Formats: sequence, structure tokens, C-alpha cells
Amino acid sequence: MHWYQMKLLGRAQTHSSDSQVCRPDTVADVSKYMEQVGKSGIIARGSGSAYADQALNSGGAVMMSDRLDRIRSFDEKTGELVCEPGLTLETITHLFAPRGFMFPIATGSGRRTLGGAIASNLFGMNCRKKAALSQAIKWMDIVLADGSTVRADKQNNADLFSAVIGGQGLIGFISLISITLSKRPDRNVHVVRRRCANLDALLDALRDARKSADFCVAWVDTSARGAAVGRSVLKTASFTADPVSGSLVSMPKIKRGLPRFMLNLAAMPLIKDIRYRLSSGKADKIVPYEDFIYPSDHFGVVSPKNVYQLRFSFSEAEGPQAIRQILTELSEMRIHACRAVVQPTADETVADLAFPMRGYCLSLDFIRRKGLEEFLRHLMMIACEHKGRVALCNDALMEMRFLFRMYKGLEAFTAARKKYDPQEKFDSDFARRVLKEDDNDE
Amino acid sequence: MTNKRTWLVLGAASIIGRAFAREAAEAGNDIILLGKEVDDLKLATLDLQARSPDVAVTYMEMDPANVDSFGDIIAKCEETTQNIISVFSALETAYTQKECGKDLGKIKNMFQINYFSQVCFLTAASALLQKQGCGEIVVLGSTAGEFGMPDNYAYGSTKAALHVWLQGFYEQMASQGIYVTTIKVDDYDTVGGDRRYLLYHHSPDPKECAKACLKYAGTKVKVRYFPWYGFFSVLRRRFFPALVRPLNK
Repeated sequence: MHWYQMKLLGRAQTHSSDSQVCRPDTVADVSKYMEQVGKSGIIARGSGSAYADQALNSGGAVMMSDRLDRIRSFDEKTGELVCEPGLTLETITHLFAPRGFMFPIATGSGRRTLGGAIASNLFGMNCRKKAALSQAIKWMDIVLADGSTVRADKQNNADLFSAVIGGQGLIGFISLISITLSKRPDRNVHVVRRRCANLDALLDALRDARKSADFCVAWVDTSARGAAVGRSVLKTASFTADPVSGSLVSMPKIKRGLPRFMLNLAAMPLIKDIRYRLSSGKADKIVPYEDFIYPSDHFGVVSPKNVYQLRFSFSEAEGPQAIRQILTELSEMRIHACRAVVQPTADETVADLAFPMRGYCLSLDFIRRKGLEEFLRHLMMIACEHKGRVALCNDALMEMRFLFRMYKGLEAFTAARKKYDPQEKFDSDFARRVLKEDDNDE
Repeated sequence: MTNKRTWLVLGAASIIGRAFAREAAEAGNDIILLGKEVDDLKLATLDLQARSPDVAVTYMEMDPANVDSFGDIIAKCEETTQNIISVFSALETAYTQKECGKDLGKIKNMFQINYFSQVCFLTAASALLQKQGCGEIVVLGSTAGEFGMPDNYAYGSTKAALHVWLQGFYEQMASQGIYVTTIKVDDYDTVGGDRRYLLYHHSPDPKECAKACLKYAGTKVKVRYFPWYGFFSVLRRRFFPALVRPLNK
């Protein structure tokens, strides 16, 4: 059993920590490592996909779950997969898509571990109603602060189950997961890409897509002004039995983002304009499902380095107005998001700190620069006014005042944390920044 | 005997052993896992069966310290499969120099597992492979065995001894059509944790390493570095030691 002194970074490299790091090889080792944890606490870390400090613990311990990636069983009839938390989503797709199954949500990146996806309450491009991750989880084994392992599902230890999903790893360590993979209707997906001239056109298209498509995501040009605010390129996809074919010109599959100098304030609107104009009015193609999902893993205009990501979730009623206000403010202030995406979201009802609600998600990436934080807090205030939420999984600026207003289940989460981890052995820089803000003020 | 391969995977519970077994199974080879911890082997077997349901996966308990049992284990493996047997060895134990300084017994333990047990197993397996007249042996080495570093030179010396033995073993077996490939892994976090050097910042990925091991298995090469630039890392350490400084400490 080894502990290493390591400097760890968030994915955006805006936060870092010096921590004692352990890498359990087996689930049995987790409890043994837990016994050695001191007062400075421990946090689990999967693939390190969280942008900020969610999986960092300065001066404390960090438990890497990447070696806990064994599959215990898979039922070909029901699709029930029992596995350890370090299994990545792309591995699940790689192994089970050829057998006719798919992960219940289609996320942008497949590099996340399953444990990380649960702890961050991940959501995807799915349009269907039952597309929340918690719906697919049958049960989880959770190693608590005292080293004991408890099985939680929607009936037994339901408070623990609800708190762990989206709990940012602050309740316990997920050691074993039973999840039901969805049956894949067909091998290929029919992808349609089309331009939307403004936000109204986009929202209409999204409403239609929710009824007719399986997956849907729109890239938005945040530099557009006036009547063109919200102009975007919408990509929808639906399963089809037709063979692979296509007229759609794909973006090149590159792994590195554009150089920084190309993303400065002057160049950004130009790049966005070119990208919008290069997208044809309407085009379609049929591709294998495996090639369609995880677009962030093989195409990135912007590398996540030194980036703030804000993900807003709005209800169907408030969404259009809120998104319009945010996009208008961005164009008026000439603050350009280097990546902006709108997608419909399904309701998440189980998790205490549930981020998605039935409506829309607006995801914005900003290159970090002086004075930006204040503006982003202003955007968070707009989200609060529209009863929206900001995702905790990539957040770097959340404050307690926003958290109370955005997450109604915060009280239940805090109660569960007090019950299962009264000494707050599971701790992270994120928890100290957001949940202990009052203590810090004192 | 069929033309299909059955890989005997030593050190099957280790991260690279596991990764290799997965890659080999995915490529359609049958697998026999060998290791000391039966619980770990059972889990690894379940994992492989779930990932690759079409291949045969079994496990056998093997205490690396009990070298007298190796002959029987190899005989059992031969009985278990009708395929051509090949061997992958990720068998090793590792302690930091600090741990070795406190307890010299750990150095003895490392020589026992990393050198003596492997040499005994490969010698025992060579008789079977010679009988087959074909098959591959892939052994995991380390660049730590090329140059003594302050934090792991005891571990490195066990690997250096193994490398020298494997050089001779390659010559002996190659004359009979059996190829022994040593994969020297650079800066994998066995001992000394995740060191970060000036020219690159990532520990080798076990999955990529396993893929490389499987790829090189059929190429008749004697030594390969993983990652490929590991060779330059060794040169750098040898000729420009001042450039090698951990960034993480």
C-alpha cells in the first residue's frame, strides 16, 4: 500500500493541489486506505475530468479509482452490468455497443469513469424522457468514512443513494455499481445538421427534435448580435436501420485545440463566423453509433486548459427567456465564449443535487482572463432569477448564496452527509470552497 | 493442436498483466491467469469473461516463491488447452529505495520475484515451447534496469539482472524458432510514484503498453522500449543526467 506525494490539477488547470495520492488495486484495498486517512480528509478521483477543484484535496488525500475497472458480470438479456467505478464510458461503449447495448446517456466525452459520472450527475445529448443516469442505476456499494460498505438503491438506504448521485464524492466512495445498459435500437444513427438563423429558430428546432430525435445538440455562435443572437448549427440524430452513407462533410478529427493566439478576442468572432458559414444549410449522413458519440474526445477547437466552464440548466418555461438574456448580454458585452452549446435535457428526480431539469442546458466555456469572474457571477445571478441551476461538476465560481437558491435538495444532501460522514472525512477543495463558505467568513 | 494461442499471464493481478490479458482476449486468444491471490484471479477471470465472452479464460494459483511447483503448473496448463502456448510475464514486486534502506530483506524479496522466480518459470516453460516448436515469450522489463536512479536503484538492479539473462535466453530460444521479447517500460509508476520529467508529462498508459506488448510479440524483436521514446530517455539519463530532474517534487 503506497501513498505518493503528487501535484494534481483540474482539467482546466485553473486549480491545483498537493496531495497524498493512493491507487487501490482492488475494492478490498479501499477500506484499508480509508483507515489510514487523517483529519485532512480524502476525495475520490476518476479520470480527472472535472474542470476545477472537485477532485482535488489540498494537503489531504486523494484516492484514484482508475485501477478499479473490473467488470463483475454482464447479463446479455437484461443489460445489467455490475462493475467497479473506474470503468470508463468509452470502454463500456467499446465492449457492449457491438452486442447491441449502449450507455443510457450519450455524453460529450467518453473518458469519464462511471464513478465520476455518477458523482457528477452527468447528463447527455439524449432527448428522450427517461434519459437521466439515476434511472439506470440499480444499486451501488458505497464505502463510508468508517470503512464499512453499504449497498444503496432507490428503496434501501435511499437517502444515501440520492446524496451520492451528484454528490461530488463527498458522501462516500462508490466501490461497485449495478447499471442497466439500454438496448440499442439500431446499429447506425442518422445525423442531420442544419443552420438556425437565430434563437427563435433554434428553440423551435429543439422543440421538434425533442419529439422526433434520439440525440440533439446545437453549437451556438455567441458573437452574433442583434436579430442574429443565438444563431447556431443544430445537430440531431436518430437511430436507423439504413446502412452507413453520407453527404455531410465531417469536421477533421483532431486531438489538440487551436493555438491560443487564434482564440483571442479579435479572432474569436471571425472563427465563429467562418464556422457558421461553412456549415451547409442542411446536410445529413448515416454513421455508426460509436462514431457519433463522444464528439469532444476527437474534436476540440479549444483545449480545456485555462478555461472556465459554466453549464446552466433551465426549465422549459424559463429556458428560452434565460438563454436569450445570457446570449444577448454576451454579445453586448462582447465577451465571447470559446465554446457554446445548447441541448435539451431530461428531468433528474432522484439526486439531491440534481443538475438537469426537463428543459434546456446552455454550456459556455470562457478563456480565463482578468475581470471575467465578476461577469460570470452576474450570469449565475441571471440563472438564479430564472430558477435555473449551474452544474457543480465543472464549476469554479459557485457561492453558497447561489447554491441555496439553485439546489432545493441541498438540505437533504447536508443531512445525508451529517448522517453518513459526520466528521467530514470525505472532503475536497470544492467542498471547502462552496459548502464551508460561512465557516471561512468567520 | 490448433493455431490459436493460449497466453499464460504471470502477474495477472497487476495492472499491466490485467491490461495484457484483456488485449489478448479481445484479439481472440484464450487466457490462463497465473498468480498468488486467488480472489484477485477470480475477479480478473470474471472481468475477462464479461469483456470477451467467446474466449476461454481460466486461472491457476501460483506462488512465485515456490519455484518447485512451476513444472507441475506448466504441465497443467498444457493439459488445459489444445492451443499453442505463449507466455507473458508481468511478474514483479517493487519497493522504493527508502523502503529497501530500512529493510534489506526487501531487496532479497525483489530478487526472488523479479529475477529468480521469472528465470525458473521461463526455463520450465521453455521445454514446453521447444516441444511445440513455436510460441512467443514477452517479458516486462524496465528502463530502471538501464541506469541507476536514486529512488529505485535496488529495483533497477533486479531488472538489470533479468535483462542480461533474457539476452542470452533470446539467443538460445531464437535458434529453435521461439522469440523472447523484452519490453522495457519507461517510468511506469511501480516504484517512485509518478515522476514527471522535462520532456513529457504522462505515465505510460497500461492499455497502450499491453497493446504494444501484444504487437511486438509476433515481431521476433529482442528488445523494445515503451513508450518508444523511452530509449531516448535512457540516453538522456546516461549522458545528460543533469536534465533529469523530477518536476513533481
